[in-house]
Amino acid sequence: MTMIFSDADKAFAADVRDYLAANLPEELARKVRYNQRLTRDDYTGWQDVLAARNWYAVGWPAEAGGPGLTQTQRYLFERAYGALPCPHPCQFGIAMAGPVIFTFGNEEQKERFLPGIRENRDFWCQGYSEPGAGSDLAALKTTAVREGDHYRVNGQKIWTTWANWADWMFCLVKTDLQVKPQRGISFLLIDMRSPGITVRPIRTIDGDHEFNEVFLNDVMVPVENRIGEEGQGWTYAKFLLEFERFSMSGAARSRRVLSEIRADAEALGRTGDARLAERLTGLEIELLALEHMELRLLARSVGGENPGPEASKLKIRGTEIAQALSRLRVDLHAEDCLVHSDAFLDALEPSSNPAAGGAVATYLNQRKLTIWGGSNEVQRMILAKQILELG
Amino acid sequence: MSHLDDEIHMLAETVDRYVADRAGGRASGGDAWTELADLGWLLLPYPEAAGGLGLGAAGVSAVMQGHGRGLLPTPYLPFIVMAGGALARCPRAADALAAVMAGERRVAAGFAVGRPAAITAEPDGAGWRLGGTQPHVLAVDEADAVLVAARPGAEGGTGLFLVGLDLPGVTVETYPLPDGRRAGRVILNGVALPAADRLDDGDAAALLGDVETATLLAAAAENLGAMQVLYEETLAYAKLRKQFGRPIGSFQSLQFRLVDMWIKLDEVRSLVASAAAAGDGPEAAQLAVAAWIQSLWSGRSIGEEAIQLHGAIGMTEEHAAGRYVKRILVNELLFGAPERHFARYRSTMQG
Ligand SMILES: Cc1cc2nc3c(=O)[nH]c(=O)nc-3n(C[C@H](O)[C@H](O)[C@H](O)COP(=O)(O)OP(=O)(O)OC[C@H]3O[C@@H](n4cnc5c(N)ncnc54)[C@H](O)[C@@H]3O)c2cc1C
Repeated sequence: MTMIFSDADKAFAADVRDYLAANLPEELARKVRYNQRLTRDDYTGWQDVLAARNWYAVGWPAEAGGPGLTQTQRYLFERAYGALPCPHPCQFGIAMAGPVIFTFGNEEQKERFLPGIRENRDFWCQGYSEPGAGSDLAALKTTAVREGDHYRVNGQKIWTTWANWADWMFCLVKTDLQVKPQRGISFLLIDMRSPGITVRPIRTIDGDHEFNEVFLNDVMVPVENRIGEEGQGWTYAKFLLEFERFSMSGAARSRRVLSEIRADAEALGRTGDARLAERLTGLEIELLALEHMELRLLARSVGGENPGPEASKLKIRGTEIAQALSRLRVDLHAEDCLVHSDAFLDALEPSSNPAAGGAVATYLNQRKLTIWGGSNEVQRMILAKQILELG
Repeated sequence: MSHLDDEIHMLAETVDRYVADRAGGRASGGDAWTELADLGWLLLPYPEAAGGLGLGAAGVSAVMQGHGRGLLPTPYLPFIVMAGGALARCPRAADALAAVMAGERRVAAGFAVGRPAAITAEPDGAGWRLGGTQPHVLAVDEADAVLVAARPGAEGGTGLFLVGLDLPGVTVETYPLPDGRRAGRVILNGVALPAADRLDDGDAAALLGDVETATLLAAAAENLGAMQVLYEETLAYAKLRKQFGRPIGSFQSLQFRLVDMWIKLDEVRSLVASAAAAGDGPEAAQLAVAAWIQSLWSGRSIGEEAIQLHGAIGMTEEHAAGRYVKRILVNELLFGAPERHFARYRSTMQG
């Protein structure tokens, strides 16, 4: 199965590639290439570059102020994007809050929130998970009690990525404790500067600070910040899951990482290493299978079919391959990975072998890929139930 | 049970208590190395004729499992198993070994498993002049001397030299490893040594080969201790953590994965136990190398599963899983990935 791309599509892909290549700052590219930690300014500066062409909210339809790309163009965009060492853009506004607002929000909400997301003026975070509610999200306990034209919100969110940087959080809360869990959930947008919000950092296994605990103590949220109907939050969250899975294969990025590892192996004079060559070839074939699974799914959705939950297979294989690549990088550099330097990881200090400098941290950090965004076990449950119809 | 079995059994209990005390924060607060000396662990592997306790690989295995379980920072492996192990095999190193056993001298290991000597030694009058850089010397910042393997001039072979870290021409650059332990580069710039500081008997290659085998078994035992905790913590968490109204351990797909972790752990435990009990027998080296390789195969898989089955909490710096995973990974980077030892394994099966 191969896709035949039209001349217009090819011209679009070339435009994307040229614009990104011309505008990706060298220093930022180096940080991404060597897996160094990015700052909030790194992200927002780069997202401004994307927003200048309206490619930050790249998946949005024209009605929502997005570029209104076709499915094929979306795919070509991802491919061109992943081929370069561009930072992975922050997704919470453009891929989650935005689509819920433009699909289920009222006109006033669309006007109020969409431009800030699209133009990269507001930084968003996702307040779903709680200590007792991970894979079983419906078990969440944070409550929102109506008092006049406000909700009084109490509870705790956890693993909230970039809550420390965020202006806004979209949040699932319980507005009705009497009904079946899924039916008592509402979708609220919370201003992170509201009184009663405390954000506490949690360090990840690689020493980075990505996620946080968010405590909500009598936070007053105006009723007009509720998206859609009270009690329908679960439906919106599920809608998002499907929206998200399609873009989670990371195949283009993995292809770039694979070629980087190949280049490192050459630089180390390891091209004659038969075992290494076998592993690289093996991973390349696995990656090719992933790319062609994705293309087939794309062809079907261009043909008007909704692939729905089947896209879970892309998340499963994509994350497994990305993890295998991060392991291969450690194996390639072996004892050169032994020198740990936070100053290097924070791009404050050079390294004699920068490709090795971030290898262990990345291997550890990439363990998250199979846990977040619906763990790979949860994705397999979805496939077993909904595609294989195993009850 | 033999007399030796009794002693190992008692040692293992002492190790357990020591590790539990450390974990509970009831450590003496004194110097940990002195504690190990007081416990007799510094003399435990060496032959009785040399003043040791003669507990050999079985004793080392018990102590190293404790290091893995408790993530102890004490450099038992490089100082006692590697440097001390080499000294114990050098006929002219009795004094140095005695000082190591007494805890008076702390000698780091200036040689790497499976790597040719990085240092060169040129004859210089009656003595030697050493030059070169030895990378990744574990815990060198806690040592006062380093035992380096060096290629002596035109002679060929490998020599073992005891180099005081305070000698002129010695520079040490230390850095943290990804698991928080420390190592350093030892840079020797024309370091002059008297002939007496060369300790081997003409060629240290064979004795270093034996030390490497002992090192791999000791590191396998440490990995075993670490993955034992990873397994136990994950099992306990699966029974405790509830999602969808049930403990996650009641989901069959996770049950199977925990069973696989348990089997992988047992594979390492079995090889380490047999290798430790094999003494100097014909199978000892083969089992030791196999134990090391299996400890990495099992260790990777158990570590990755431990994080995965804990979910996001397993991704935190605060949770123990990551620290154990890093210890096993750093051991692999220090002592060599499985594939690097296949040839060594095959060579143990010849003859
Ligand atoms: C780096 C990182 C960033 C994150 N950022 C955010 C964020 O910004 N906002 C947010 O809301 N959340 C975020 N999360 C949380 C993430 O969504 C959850 O970790 C995920 O939903 C899993 O929940 P849990 O961690 O509580 O694990 P649990 O649900 O407790 O699961 C533990 C293990 O059991 C497995 N399991 C659970 N149920 C079953 C079952 N029925 N059958 C088989 N296996 C099962 C899981 O797959 C997992 O392996 C983040 C997580 C990580 C790691």
